[in-house]
Amino acid sequence: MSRSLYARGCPSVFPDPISIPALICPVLPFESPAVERDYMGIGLGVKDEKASSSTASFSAAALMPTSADDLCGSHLKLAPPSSSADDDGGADGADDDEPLSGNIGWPPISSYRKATTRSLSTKEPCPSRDTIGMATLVHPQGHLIDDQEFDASQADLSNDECSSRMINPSPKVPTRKSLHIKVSMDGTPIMRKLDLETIQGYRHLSLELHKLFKFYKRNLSCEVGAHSSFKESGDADFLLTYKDKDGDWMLVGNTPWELFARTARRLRIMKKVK
Amino acid sequence: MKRKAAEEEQETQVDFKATLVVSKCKCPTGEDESPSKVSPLLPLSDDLMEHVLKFITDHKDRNTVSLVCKAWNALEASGRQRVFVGNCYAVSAQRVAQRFPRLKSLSLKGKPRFADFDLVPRNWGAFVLPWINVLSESHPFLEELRLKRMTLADDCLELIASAFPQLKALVLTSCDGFSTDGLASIAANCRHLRHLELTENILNHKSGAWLRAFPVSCTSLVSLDFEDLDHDDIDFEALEGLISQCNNLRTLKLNRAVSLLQLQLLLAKCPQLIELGTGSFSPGVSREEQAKLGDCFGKCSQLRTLSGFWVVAPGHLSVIHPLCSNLVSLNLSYSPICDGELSDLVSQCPKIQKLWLMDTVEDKGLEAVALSCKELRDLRVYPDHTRQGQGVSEEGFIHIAEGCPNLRAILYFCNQMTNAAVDVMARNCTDLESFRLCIMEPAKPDHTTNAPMDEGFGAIVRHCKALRRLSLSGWLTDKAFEYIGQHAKKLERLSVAFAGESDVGLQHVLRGCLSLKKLEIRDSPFGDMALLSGLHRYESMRSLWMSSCSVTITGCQWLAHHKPRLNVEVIQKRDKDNSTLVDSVYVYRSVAGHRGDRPSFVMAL
Repeated sequence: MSRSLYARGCPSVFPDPISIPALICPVLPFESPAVERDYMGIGLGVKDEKASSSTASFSAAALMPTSADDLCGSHLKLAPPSSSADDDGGADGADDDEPLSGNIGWPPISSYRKATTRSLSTKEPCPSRDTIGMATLVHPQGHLIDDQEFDASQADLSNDECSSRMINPSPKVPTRKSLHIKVSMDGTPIMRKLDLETIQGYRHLSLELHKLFKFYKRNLSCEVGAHSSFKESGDADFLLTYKDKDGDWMLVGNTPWELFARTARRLRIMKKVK
Repeated sequence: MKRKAAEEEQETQVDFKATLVVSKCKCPTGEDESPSKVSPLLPLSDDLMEHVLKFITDHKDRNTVSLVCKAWNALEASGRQRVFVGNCYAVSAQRVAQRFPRLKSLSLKGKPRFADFDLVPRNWGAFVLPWINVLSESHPFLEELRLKRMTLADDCLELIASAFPQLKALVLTSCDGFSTDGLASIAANCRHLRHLELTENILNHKSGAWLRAFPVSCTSLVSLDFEDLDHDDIDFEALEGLISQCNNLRTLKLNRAVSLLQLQLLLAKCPQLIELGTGSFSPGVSREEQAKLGDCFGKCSQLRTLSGFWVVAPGHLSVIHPLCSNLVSLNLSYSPICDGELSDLVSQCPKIQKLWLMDTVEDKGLEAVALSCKELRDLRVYPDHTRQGQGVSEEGFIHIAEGCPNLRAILYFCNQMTNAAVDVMARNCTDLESFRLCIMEPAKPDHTTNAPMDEGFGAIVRHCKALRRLSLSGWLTDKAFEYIGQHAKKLERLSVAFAGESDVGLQHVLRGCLSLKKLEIRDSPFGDMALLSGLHRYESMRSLWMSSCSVTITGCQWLAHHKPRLNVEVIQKRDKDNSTLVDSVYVYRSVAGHRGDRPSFVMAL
């Protein structure tokens, strides 16, 4: 078919209305309805954290037919994603399963794979094992351990000890009540909530915060006490502090994790004064 | 004549298409050949042709042969043993059974690919039972059955087991609707079963008892793959007994219920394995046990493919190091290992061609891969579902592009990408046949320049002339589609999501990609004009799927009316108030007419 056929959006070979029963095709040449449809922006412009339906309206540009001449065309113009839409209300720490809420089947990972990886991660044998890898193990007390210590402690990290800290295999029934604390960051107006019960160590906390505040996007890093972020820079841009039950603001990382999880009331990512 | 026969055979094998054009089997006259010369235009006798056809095994070649003339069509059909049906609704089972009386192996594919991502409602169709009902009467000597994305229940499996006593291979990929009870009936009744392979199926319920159903005398198994049956109970003695009897076993892929020590016991019984799916690679064992395991792995000198690694006990990946130098394929896509462990592993795998990973290895891990694995042909990087790490980015992509020039297929899930990185890959890996890039945020631009990803994908289609499969992501305007239409002449499968600006984009593709077979689109602003611009194309394609686009019911009706040999199936949610937009439209060519087993939500136009 030559290009000219569609140059003006309307092929010249439309049949006359008689050839198609009116029942099937009531209007010919047919017009596309004026569609106001925002399909983009689910990952970009979801300001409202509660938005979950796949047809929720978004802040991205509305799509309208460009001119009345386009009888047959649905020439919907799509505006590029605006940079302000980048600050979306991303998933909470708890919503790991649906990274872009509202989008069915995106990213395109088969449902078998999703179900398998989900059920595998709830059956992890060792709670001190980092979810991203085994190269550096974090002892339940919070310091890094090396190979020899690992062998010796392997007996200690028995299933009994593990199971007390393991997330319950059936994700629907939480083993302990969740402990949400507010996390604020200097320079960001929006506070987040984090469930400390699901976090298993300082490293995990650091990763969680990086994910929540999208540090990787802005090339930032935050020191979490003695355990710096996975960027491992000595001069990080931010410092993590917490408010304990006495109301004092302390540096995170100097106490064993268990103690910290019990006493922390709020977290604050402070800008480091260099 | 004998000399001519030999010549004919040779010609057929080397370039039979030219031969087909030349040999006019029914019309030898019209050429001035002197009678003394041996003329290539003499008619070929049926016996001779049948003999020649035995050497032609490829589906496409046989399809071409059958199109030459009616005689050849009949001859070819009477001899064909393997049939591949790419869309189970394109042809009826009766027709297949009638045309191919000597059918021994049948491959069927059912649902559209987007069913994997929950975009196709349940009970959509693709039932196997009608096929089995027909074949059980006409082809009781069926030997192989391969099904992908189809629905079959336990009674269907029982029917298969009872109707096909000679069944040698049953391969189920991404199927659903059955349970381990059905498998037990297969195991019990198919005495000649050689291949039983289950991949990524979704079963109703699973229990480990099915392994006991194999008869005590079973020795025929060559490959047994039940990786996706995640039942926790397993009759290990039954499995052990089965394995020790089947001396021809070459492929064994175990499920998660098998622990590391149990794996050791099994490996001791079958060191001749070529492909192994380790069970869960845990729980951890002591150093001595690890050493023993390493020895055990070392004895399996023919092992070339490893997969499984469901839960890797910390530090235990090193037990497979003795195998690494011969390893060709490694699937670690379910193991969240880190870059350190991966680099230890791949530095010893110079021959590896297929590597599937999880993005927990991050860019550093990919750098290690690029350094060591120069023969890499197929790379997949899947995202960790918890998304706690930073995943992979364009840095890892560039490492791979620069380090692995032999790459043929890549699937890459990343958080961010740049046009420059994709360009590097396009220039370095020109043999790419399958390029699937998934930037996980829909319609995300190049994060350094904020430009659309048009130029990157444009470079891919321009430089990779052999490209057959392409999946798009990121922010893409119509320009990207223009490039694709212009350059991707060999493209057969295209997957589009959250891309494009207007109908013109899809028009470029439909007009330009002449080899296109499967087109699947979701959440893109293509409407009726785009759909109808491919009017002349759909009959040469296997299928088109468009969901959450701007296609209206009127457009679909118009298409259906003008192309009666196409099946146009529409799913439209009832609760949409007065909207004429359809949720999804599925267009495919068919000689069987509309299917009778449509669920209520699917409208056939």
